[in-house]
Amino acid sequence: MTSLMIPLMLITPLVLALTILFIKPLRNLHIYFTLLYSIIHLTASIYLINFHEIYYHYFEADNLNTIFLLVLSVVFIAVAVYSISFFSHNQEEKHIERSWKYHVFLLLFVDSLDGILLSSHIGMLWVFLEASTLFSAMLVYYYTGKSALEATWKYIFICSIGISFAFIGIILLSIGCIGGSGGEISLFWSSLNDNAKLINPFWLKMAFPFLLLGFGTKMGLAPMQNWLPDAYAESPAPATAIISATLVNAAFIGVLRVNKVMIMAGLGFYSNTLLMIMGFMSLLIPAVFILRSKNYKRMLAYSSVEHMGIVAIGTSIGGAGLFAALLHIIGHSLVKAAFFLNSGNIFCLFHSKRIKDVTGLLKVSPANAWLWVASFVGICAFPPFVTFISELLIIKELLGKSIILTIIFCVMLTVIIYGIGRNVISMISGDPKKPDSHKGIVFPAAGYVPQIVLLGMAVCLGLYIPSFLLDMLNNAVKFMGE
Amino acid sequence: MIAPVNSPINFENSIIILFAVTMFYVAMSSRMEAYIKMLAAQGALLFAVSLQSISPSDYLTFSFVIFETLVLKTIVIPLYLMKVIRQNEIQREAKPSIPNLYSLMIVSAITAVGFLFAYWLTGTRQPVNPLFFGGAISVILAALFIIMTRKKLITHIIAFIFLENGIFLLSLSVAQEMPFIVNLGVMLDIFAWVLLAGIFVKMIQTSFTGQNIDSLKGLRD
Repeated sequence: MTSLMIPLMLITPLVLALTILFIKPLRNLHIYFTLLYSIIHLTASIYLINFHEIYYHYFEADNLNTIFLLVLSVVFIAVAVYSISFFSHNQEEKHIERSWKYHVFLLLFVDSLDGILLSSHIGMLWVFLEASTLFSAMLVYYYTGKSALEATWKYIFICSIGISFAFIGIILLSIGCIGGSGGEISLFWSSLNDNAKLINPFWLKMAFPFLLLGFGTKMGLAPMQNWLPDAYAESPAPATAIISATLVNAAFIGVLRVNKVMIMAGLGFYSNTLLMIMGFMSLLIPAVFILRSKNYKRMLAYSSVEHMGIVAIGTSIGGAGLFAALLHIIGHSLVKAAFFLNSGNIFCLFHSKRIKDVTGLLKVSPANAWLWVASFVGICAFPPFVTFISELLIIKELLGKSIILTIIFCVMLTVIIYGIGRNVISMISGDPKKPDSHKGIVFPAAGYVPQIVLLGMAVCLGLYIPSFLLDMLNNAVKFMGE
Repeated sequence: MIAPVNSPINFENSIIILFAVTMFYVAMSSRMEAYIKMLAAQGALLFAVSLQSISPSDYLTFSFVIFETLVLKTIVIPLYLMKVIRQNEIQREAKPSIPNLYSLMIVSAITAVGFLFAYWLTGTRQPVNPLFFGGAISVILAALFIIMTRKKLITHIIAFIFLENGIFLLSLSVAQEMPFIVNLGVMLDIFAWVLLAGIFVKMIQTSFTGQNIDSLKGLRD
């Protein structure tokens, strides 16, 4: 059955972005366009959760991508609401005037993410991954300036190499499909899964590391994570929030889908071992760099690398580990989006991203200070946040595999928690360095509500996972062949 | 009587070998113009390979690939890059991380490994043309090596296009069975072209003096 929701989801942002381009003098209209699309997106996601449908074979809603679509919808609404506050208050006039560009590229970026998530063909997924790089690069470059340019350059260059690796992986996979004993196999995920055992295992083994490196680059997995701290630090806070909470998820779905083919082909041990190695490397790098971090947005970026590492480790364990990894993706997206949105408020108050320059946040703005602390508690996976449940589950599953790996895992997490905690405490405590410079800066409700809602959802999920979400997670694990 | 032997040296194979050899010249040269000339040479060689590899009956893919190799890779991109280096007076690569002689030796080793690997694959009855596969792998690895050892931003872009050329050759090796892959390869090139050369070379050059990767060290912990 052909769906109307998938084309609605994919075509609406294109139409809205083009409209904004034509009517840019009507400045506030683009804000409402983004809000309108975020609501349409949520409606379409809920519809697709209930009715898994296909659009012209190339796009399909299934048990796996609907979870990611829902997360994208929730984060997108929060970012759309927060953008009202961010671009209309406490910003330089030139940035407010150019905010229509941000909205155009935000819409196009979300569109490309929808494409990645819904693609039922590996080539199509790859094309949308390219598009997401193009549009998110323009978001990273929003503030122009030398630092933004440097960050954008690194982002573009490293991601381009990653995309090239993914393409090499697709070519090697296609050689395996030709060489298989069952004749030619198409590159649709369903065909790859159904015929996984017929694909030449040699080429499948050759293709997987390239695909993992390619998708892993966008996901922020080590050793290809170099772009992430620069890009996150230089882009506007709402853009960072949506990139950190959704782009990495979209790339992760590529890893999951390829891993499923490997599992179906009986090569799960090989692919899971590689995933686990990359996962532990992604824990090691932030454990080293977070202690040296002088910029709070870069600190959060390293935290994203860490969480992607946790997710990779959970996925590599499989079964309950995969369930926990998917739950962790949800929790991380909610908390990290809130954390980055709040970093926008802190930047407005202190006009600096340096940790040293931000002191006495509790005295300057108690609401922002408490949101900052709550985000820290959530990102470090303390109860009652959902991240606690997911990390605990991953540790439990890892313990069943290897005690040594579990100890390494826990030590690295402790180092990272110490690194973030030390900086967060130094930022909220003490006295502000320039007490008068923060006076007169007020945030409208849109500057707080999205973070409160996101963190509230992460707490609620930590206390009670609704049955519909539990079913979705269980179905996703089953879908993955676990 | 000696049995007739099919000579492995035919037109297509010679082109592939020449394609791989271009990277030797890149490895031992520091001149920007030499890099760009090799880029144009690779474009022309890929055009010749495409003529042999892709069936003209697949009209759309054929015309797409011809446009990509002959117009973009051989003429437009090299001319544009030549203009950029002349406008910005970039004549030579800054001091590379390792001397050119060592670069040449390493690229030679990479090429040897690429071809040996490809011929080993043929021995295991894998469905690949060893020369296509070996040539492509060699150029991809050599391009990555050039990116790692050179410092100019423009050299990184040129090396990235070398990498794309290697991938393009790899995609041609499965072109008969999956023309879709070739179209994707063309998209990758267009993406790289639009993004890397079209937008950011100019921006980088106006904002960063010296155009060295060393100048991109403002963002760090």
